Amino acid sequence: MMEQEELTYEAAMKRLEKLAQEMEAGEVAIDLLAPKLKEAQQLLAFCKDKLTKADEEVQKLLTGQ
Amino acid sequence: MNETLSLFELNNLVRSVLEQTLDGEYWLQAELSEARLASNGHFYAEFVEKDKDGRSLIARARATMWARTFNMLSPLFERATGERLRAGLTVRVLVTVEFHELYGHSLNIINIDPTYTMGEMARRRREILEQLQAAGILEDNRQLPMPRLMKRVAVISSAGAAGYGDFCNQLGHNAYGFFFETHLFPAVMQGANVEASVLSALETIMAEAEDFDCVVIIRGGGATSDLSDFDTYALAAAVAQMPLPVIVGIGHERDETVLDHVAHTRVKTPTAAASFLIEHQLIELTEQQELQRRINEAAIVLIQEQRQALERLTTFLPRAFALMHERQQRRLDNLSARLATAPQRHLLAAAHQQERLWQTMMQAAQLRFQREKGSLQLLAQRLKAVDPTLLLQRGYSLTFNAEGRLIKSVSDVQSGEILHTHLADGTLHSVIKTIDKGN
Repeated sequence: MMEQEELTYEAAMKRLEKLAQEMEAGEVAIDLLAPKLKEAQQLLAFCKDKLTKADEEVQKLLTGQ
Repeated sequence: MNETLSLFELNNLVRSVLEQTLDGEYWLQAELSEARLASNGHFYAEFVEKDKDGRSLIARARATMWARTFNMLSPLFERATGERLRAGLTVRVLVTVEFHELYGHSLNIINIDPTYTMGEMARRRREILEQLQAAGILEDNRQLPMPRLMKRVAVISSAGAAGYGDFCNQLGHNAYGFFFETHLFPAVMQGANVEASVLSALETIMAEAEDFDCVVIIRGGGATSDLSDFDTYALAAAVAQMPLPVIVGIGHERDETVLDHVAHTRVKTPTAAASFLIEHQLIELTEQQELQRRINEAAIVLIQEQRQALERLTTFLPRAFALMHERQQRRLDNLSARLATAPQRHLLAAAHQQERLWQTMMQAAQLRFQREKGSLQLLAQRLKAVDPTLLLQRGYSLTFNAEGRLIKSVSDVQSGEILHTHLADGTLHSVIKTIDKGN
């Protein structure tokens, strides 16, 4: 996952918004659809965790420990 | 006046003079410097008046409100002002002036005007707000952007307060499973130490501001308490200048403090403060879900479009091939038809040419015939000119002898011979009588 150290909730939500807009505009090449969807799911999980989990747990999940 | 009076007699004299000269009821406005509810239910107070600078006292009087009056008036007062009758309040009361031989001068409170106190409190709040406005910091906290994530909460409250417990309970057991990190900064939330204590808590938080998303100031529940303790300029200024959004939940239904005006968000109770935080996170959650829905829908649309494009291709390609095939076939047919008719056309052309030649020849022949015919006619005319018949008609005649010889000379004839002379319209048979030679 990209920028795992610096990623903030606000940045993640912005990225999600951008992804949604790109896909809605049909600007995503079909080859990139799967990776983009995967990225979106990871960001969504990250954002949801921010709301529902203690940050240390989130950190653990992100660094895969 | 040599009579010597006992103390009682003197005081009794003062009392009777006072009772005679000040026997009415008087509206008095003054500051309560002491206020105490005794165990017998009576309310004991002290009124003071300060000089213009507010430094030194220029008047003081004890006052009493008997239990029966207090029990009737104090709930009304508290309901109207949100304040207990306490030291520091400025009040307007209806009093009678009393003098007791043993206890001395005292005021008996028989009524109280809460609207005056309310007005005084409002005026004080207004002054503080005007000061904040003049300092340019009134709106500072209210204009802070609300962070999307309000998770790390600095709480200013008294540790044991029911309100703090309610707040933590509400946050901890929210229906959406939101996680909040609360950190308590204990402070005195009632009484004279409020200002200093809350200020100190705010300063501590300010130093660790990066570790928090917002500040919550709550106190709470229980009896109506002294809200005006929070109405100080220093406290209001500190809240206004906090770098984090401040949520206050210190009031009650109809009460408000200066902090309610400067804080980012004001709520009524600690529970409401917790609800506010939960709702804020809920908005985020909803937004996340909306993004998820949009992304999923867009992905489905993208995939569907690709599939449709593919389907169009798969149905279109065979048709396109069929169409191309048909067109090629027609071209071939056309070519072969042209090839098939080409020799015929050549033959036809040859036939035409022959026909043309034939006609040319025929015309030439006819021309020739006509020309020949012309010559023949000329000849015929010329022949006519030499036709004996014509000569006969003109008067010439032909004479033959009996043997049928044409007589061209008199020498051919003998007298007595029968000659046959042909004229145009018949033949004369004559006998020669004489012959004359020469003309």
